[in-house]
Amino acid sequence: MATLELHEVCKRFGATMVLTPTSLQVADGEFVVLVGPSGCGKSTLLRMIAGLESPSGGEIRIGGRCVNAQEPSARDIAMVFQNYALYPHMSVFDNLSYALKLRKLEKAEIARRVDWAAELLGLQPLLARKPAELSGGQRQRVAMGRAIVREPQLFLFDEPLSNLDARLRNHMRVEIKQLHRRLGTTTVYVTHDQVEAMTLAQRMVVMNHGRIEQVGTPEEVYAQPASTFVAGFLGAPPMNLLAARVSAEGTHVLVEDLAPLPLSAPQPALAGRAVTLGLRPEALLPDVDGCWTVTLNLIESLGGEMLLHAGVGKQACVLRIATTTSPWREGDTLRVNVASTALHLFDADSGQRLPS
Amino acid sequence: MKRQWLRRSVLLLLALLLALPLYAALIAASHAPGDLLGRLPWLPGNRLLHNLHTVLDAGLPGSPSVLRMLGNSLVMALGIALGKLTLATLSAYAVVYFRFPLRRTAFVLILSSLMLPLEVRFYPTFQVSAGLHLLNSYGVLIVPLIASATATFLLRQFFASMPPSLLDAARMDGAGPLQFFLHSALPLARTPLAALFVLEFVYGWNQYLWPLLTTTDARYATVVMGMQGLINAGTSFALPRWDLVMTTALLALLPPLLVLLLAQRWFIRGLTDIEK
Repeated sequence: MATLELHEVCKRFGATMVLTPTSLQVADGEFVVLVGPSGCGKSTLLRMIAGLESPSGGEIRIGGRCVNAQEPSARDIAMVFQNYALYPHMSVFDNLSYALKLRKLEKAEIARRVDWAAELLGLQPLLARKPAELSGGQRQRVAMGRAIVREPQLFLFDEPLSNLDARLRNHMRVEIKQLHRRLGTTTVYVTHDQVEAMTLAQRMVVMNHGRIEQVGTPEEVYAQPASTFVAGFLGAPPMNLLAARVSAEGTHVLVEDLAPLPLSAPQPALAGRAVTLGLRPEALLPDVDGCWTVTLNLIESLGGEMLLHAGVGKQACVLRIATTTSPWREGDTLRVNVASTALHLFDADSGQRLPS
Repeated sequence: MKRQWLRRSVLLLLALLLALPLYAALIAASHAPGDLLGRLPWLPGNRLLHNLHTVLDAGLPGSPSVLRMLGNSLVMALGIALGKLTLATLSAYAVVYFRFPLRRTAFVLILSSLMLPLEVRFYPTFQVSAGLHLLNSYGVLIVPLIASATATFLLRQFFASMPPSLLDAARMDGAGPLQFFLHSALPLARTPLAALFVLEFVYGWNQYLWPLLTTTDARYATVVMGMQGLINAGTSFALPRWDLVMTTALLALLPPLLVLLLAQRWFIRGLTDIEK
């Protein structure tokens, strides 16, 4: 078990900057998720931690030791790959024990560790099989087993669930979380899936265009997104982003064709400024005395809740209502209320969060 | 139903056409030389075992025993096939997995040598072999022929099609380049290797011109090249020994056929699904 520190780590491929200098501290035993759209540099960062790519600058420390010059196998880490990367010609037992054999561990010790991992992951009946004879979920488990038999200081997961179907993905997600609880090993997990990120992370790192947008607990990141990118990336459906303007007195926010919404506290510094107004779909509540009138364009039922796609003025937004039957029909107009504490303001140009 | 019969009869006809020379050889090999004078009997005779015995033991007068020639051919074909596989596997592995200056150029050079027919380089190769005093040895039968652009190319494609994460996983597990080669790349390549072995074995077995040029000593005669000498020797008697020549021809046919039959399953798999 160990801490992981990244200090101004960056990566260039030729002239393109894939990862701008990035610093991050991961505490001992922490589960950190790197999340972002494809091409945001999260996988590159993980591969540099693993030692499969070398950084163009900066320092990577594992357990306080700089590992920049070390081979992957010398870093005392283990990695689970997206396509599992099991050795197709080896049995499950051989897959699990390969790294231990290369380290010249004693036979008895190898057997003990493989047994332990197989027991933990329910792989015992499969030890003699080849990867081709396993289902997707079983392969995933073998890949995790291969990582844990090494009893590493640090686990790296590279989109481990994206090759599984939705049901299995939910199941394995829970298993990974339980595994982390039992082993308590420091973990860095890369995914593009915001649900995985929200549910697994103790702390999440949202990345975009080769840099970190925000670091925080899932609750913090959800409640206080640092930019319109984070706001639009997390949550399903994501936060509604409307073009708006702060009133000349700095007390209200104005969306075209709609009634002004009061800010929870006056913001004189923002007076008259063009902003992006962020509203979570659950922040718009139907209310006969509501201040806004919206037009329903489309209703989607998810069983326990409904998504209402509505027109607000000239713009569009989505409402999430916890109800099983809809009293409204498409084409109806509806009055909604917006709590002033639910407003998020972002700079219209840079997308950075503003006080509201 | 009717179409199927038509198709089958065409296939049957072609198969018969292909088998006809073999049948003729079998008939000739199973008769006494006198029966073959100016005609070919319709049915096989009873001298096949006797003829086999004669050629394998003694050969024709004036040429080495066919057993010796078969042995020479086997050494040459195995040497060429194994040599080609070794060299091609190693160079394909290097081209795919190592970053070194002029890597692409090296591969393009190997590939472009595909265009050159073997015969083009016979003269310089002969010069070099003669200069190294290799003529009349097993070495000269094998070594100049073990470079293979085709095999290198096929194996390169195979290695390049393996998922790159496999190498990543092996590096994480602590396998070095040699260990990855021996534990992963080589075992995974066994299907294409088996297919290539069959191809190259037959290629080696059928070498004619090169052994003819480089070995003058009868001790190194191979069966395919020796056949020509046999025909000369066999027809120079008052009574042409076509029976013995054809027996030898049948014997020369057997080993490549056996290799092909034994490895057929691997052969087809190796050529059709290079992926996996």
